[in-house]
Amino acid sequence: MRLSTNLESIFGGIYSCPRCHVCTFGPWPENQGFCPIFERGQTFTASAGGILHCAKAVLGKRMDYNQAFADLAFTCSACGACDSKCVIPRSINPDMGVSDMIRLIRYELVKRGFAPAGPAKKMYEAVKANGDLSGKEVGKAVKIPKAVQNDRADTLFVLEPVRTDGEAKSLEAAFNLLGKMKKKVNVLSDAGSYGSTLYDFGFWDQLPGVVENKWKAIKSHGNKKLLFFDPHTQEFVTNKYRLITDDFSPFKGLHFSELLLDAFKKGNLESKEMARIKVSYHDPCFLGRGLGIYDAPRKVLGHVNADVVEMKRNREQSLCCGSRGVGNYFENFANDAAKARLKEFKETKADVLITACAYCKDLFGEVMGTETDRVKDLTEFVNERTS
Amino acid sequence: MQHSAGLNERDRVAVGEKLKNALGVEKVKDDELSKITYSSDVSPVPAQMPSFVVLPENRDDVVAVLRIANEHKVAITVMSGGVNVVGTTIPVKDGIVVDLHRMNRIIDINTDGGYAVIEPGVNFERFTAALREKGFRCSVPTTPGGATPVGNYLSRPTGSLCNRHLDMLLDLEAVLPDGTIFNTGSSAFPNAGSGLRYGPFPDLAGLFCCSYGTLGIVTKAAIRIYPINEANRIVISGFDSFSDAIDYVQDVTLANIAEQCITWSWQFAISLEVRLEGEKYIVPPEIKTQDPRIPPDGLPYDFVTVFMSGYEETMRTNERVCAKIAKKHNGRMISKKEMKKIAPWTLKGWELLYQEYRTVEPASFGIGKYLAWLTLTEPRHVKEVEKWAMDEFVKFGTLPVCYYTMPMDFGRAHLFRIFCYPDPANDALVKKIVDRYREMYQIALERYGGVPQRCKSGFPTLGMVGGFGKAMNKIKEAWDPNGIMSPNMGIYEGVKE
Repeated sequence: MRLSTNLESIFGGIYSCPRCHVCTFGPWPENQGFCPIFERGQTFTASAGGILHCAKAVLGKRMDYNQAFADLAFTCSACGACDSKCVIPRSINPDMGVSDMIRLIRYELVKRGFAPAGPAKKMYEAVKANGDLSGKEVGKAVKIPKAVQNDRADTLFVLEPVRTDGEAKSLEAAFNLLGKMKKKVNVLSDAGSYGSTLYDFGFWDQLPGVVENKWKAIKSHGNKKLLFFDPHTQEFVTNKYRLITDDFSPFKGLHFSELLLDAFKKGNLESKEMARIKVSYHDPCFLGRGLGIYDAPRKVLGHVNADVVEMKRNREQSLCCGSRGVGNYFENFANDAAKARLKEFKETKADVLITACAYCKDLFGEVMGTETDRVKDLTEFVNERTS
Repeated sequence: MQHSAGLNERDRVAVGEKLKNALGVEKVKDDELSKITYSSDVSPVPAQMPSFVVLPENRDDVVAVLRIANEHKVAITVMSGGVNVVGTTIPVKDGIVVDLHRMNRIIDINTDGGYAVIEPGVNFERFTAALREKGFRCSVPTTPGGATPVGNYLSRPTGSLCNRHLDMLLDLEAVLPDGTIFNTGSSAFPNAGSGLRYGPFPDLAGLFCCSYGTLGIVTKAAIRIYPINEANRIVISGFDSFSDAIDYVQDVTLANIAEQCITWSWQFAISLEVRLEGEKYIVPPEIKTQDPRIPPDGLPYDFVTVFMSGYEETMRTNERVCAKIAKKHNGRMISKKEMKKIAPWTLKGWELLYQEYRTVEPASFGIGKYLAWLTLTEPRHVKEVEKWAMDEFVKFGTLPVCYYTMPMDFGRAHLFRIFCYPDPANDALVKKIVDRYREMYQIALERYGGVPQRCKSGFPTLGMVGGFGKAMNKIKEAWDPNGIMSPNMGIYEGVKE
C-alpha cells in the first residue's frame, strides 16, 4: 500500500499549514465560503487548518488524541472543498491532499478507540466485530432486472449494495433508463462496499483486503468500461485504488450522468412532451470536486425540458450537503448544513432540486420534510421525463 | 514597565464570565481545541496555550474585551488573518487571543478619493475582488489570499507598490486598552473623509505601524487604492551576476519606469508559489540538489522583473528602455514565451500578482519550514549583503536557498530577503538556523548598516535605538500602563531610563 498510514509520515504537510484560511473559501473573485464546518463555526478551529493544527499539537506532544479531537475530525464532511484551494500538502505529496490528511488523522483516532458517538461509533463496532462494515452502511444487495443484464456486455456496472429506500428508488430509475436506452450492462453487485466509507471514516486496517478483493472481482471480467452510479465509489476506485493495490491498472470509467448524456446525443433516449420546468442542480462533492463531472448532469437536464437555475454556490464552489459529517463537534451539524444548502435552493425559486448522489438526496429529502418530493436524483427525474 | 501575564485559575473563571456576559457565549471560546488551534503559527516560535479565544464582531466587542483584560491585567494577543511567519500572533501563556476575522466589512470604496475603508478581518482575496469590480487595485504582497490588508500593511511589508509608496495606510480607527477610541487621520474631524493620513497634528497612524499589537487594536483602516491602468507589462530579464542585476534595478527605478522591480534568485524564480489550474505543483527537483550560487546551464543567476502600467504607448516605450538598460548592465531580455518554458508556474504567479493584482497560493510552504532573514540596506551595500548571506546560508546545508530583493521608496533602500526550508521535523537544525539569524542581524547592522525590518520575538528591541526607545517606552506606558498588549513581543526590552 502506497498510502501514508501514520501521522508522522505527513509531518511536513501538517507543519506547513500557515493558518491562512484559504481552505475555507472558494476561488477568486467570488471567494464564497465553502467549508461546511467553517461556515458553521466561523472560527479557525472549525476548519481543515484547525484540524491540522490539532494534529500538530499531537505530534508536538502538546495534546493527546482525545474524544473532542475525534468529534471535530469526524464533523468535517471530507467534501474536498479544501483540496481544491490549498496546494501546500500536495506540493509535498501529490497523493495527500488536506482531506486525505484528515482521513489519516481519523485513522489514528479510530486506532485508539476514539470514534464519535452515533453513526461513526456504530461503524466502529461493526468493523471491530466483522472486519468490515455491516448493516445500513453496507445495505442490501441490488436486485438486477434481467432486461438489462448481459454477462458479455462491454460495460461493467459497478454498484454498491443499496443502503436506503431512497437510493433503491434512484437505482430502479437507472435500470429503467438502461431499458429505455436498450443498453445491456454486466452488473457487478456483490456483498460489501468498495471501501470508500472505510477510507473516509478511518477504518484503514481493513482497506487493503477489501480493495484487493474488489479490484480482483472487477479485473476478472476483463478490461471492460466501468459504469458507476455512486460518486463516492467512483471517486475512490478512480483516485485511490492505485495507492492501495499494486495490481491496479488504469481503466475507462464513466458516471451514469455521462451515459445519459451520450444516450441523448445518439438519440437512444427521447424526452417526453412535457412543460418546461425550473430545476436547480446540487453538485455532489465527489462527483464534482472529486471527479470533475459538472457539465454532464446539467446538459442531461437540458435534454428533458428543464431550465437549470444555479444556486449561489455551484460547481467547484458547491456547498456540501453535510451528510458525511458524523462527528459531534457541533450539534445537528449534518441537518443544519443541509438546511443552509436548501435555503440557497429555495432562493432560486426552482421547483425541483436535482442531485446525483444518494447521500445528498436522502439528507435533503429528510430535511425538506413534507416537501421531500421536491428532491430527486437525476435518474428519477430523467426517467419521469423520457419515453 | 509593567508586563501583564496570563490568568491564574481564580481570575480565569471571573474573566470568562465577564467576557461571555459582554460578548455572548458564542464569541468566547475556552475549550481545549480552540486554545490549541490558536496556540501556534507556522513560525519557529514555541506554541503557548491561551486561556480564551475571543471573536469580536464589531468595535463595541473590542472595547469590551480590552476593558475586561485591562481591569484584570490579562495579556492580549491580536490577530486578523492569522497568517504569520514570525510568531507575532503566538499568545502569552494563559492570556487572551483576539481574532478579528469576523470583523470583515468593506465599508467604503472611494474611487474619487482613491481609498477604501475596511475592517481588519477583510482578507486580500475579498478586497482585491471588490476593488477589481470598481476598476481599482491595491498593493499586493506575496502572502496567501487569506492574509488581511490591515494586518499586512500594519507590519509595513513589501508589496507590489512599495517602490513608490512605503505605506499603504491612510487613516486608522483604534481602541486603546482603557477603551479610548480615536481616529488617526482626517476622519478625526467631523464630516471629513478618510483620505488624508497627515493633517495638522502628529501622525499617530505611524505609531501603530510595526508596533505588532503592543499599543492597541485597530478596528478600521483606510487603505490607498489605485485605478487599474489601460495597459500593464511584466518585463523579464536575466543577469549572470547579482551586481549587474542591482545596477539594472537601480537605473530602472530612478528612471521612474517601474511600479516595482524585483530581483529573484534563480532557485526562487523556478519555485515561486503558485498552482496552475488543473495541474499538480511539484517542487522542481534540481533546487534541492544544486548549489544555489551556481545556476544550471541556460539559466541566469538572477531574474529581474519590472512591473509597470499606464498607457499602451508608454508601455511600449518603457519596454525598449528596459532592454537598453539591461544591455548596458550585461543582461538579456527574457520573453514570456521563454519564461513559460523555464517555469510556467512562476510566470503564472507573476501574472496573478502584477497583472491581475491579486494574491497567489503559497505552495512553496510545502518545500519545508519557511525561515526568512531580511534586512534593508542602502543600494551600495546590498551587493555585499547578498554575497555574504548566500555563503552563510549555504553553510546550513539545506537546499534550496532562495532570495529576492526589491527597491523601497524609489531605491533609497533595498530590501533583501533570503530564506531556506529546513525539514520541520529537525528541531535542532531549525534552532541552529534561527540562532544564527540573530547573529547575522547584528553583523549586517555593524558591517552594512542593514536595518532589520521585521520584529521577531526578542529581536530587534527598542533597547537598541537609544532615545527613540525611551520615547517609545513613554508612549507605551501612557497608553498601556498595565502592559496588556502583546507583552511577549519583546520589542520594549532593554530600554534604559
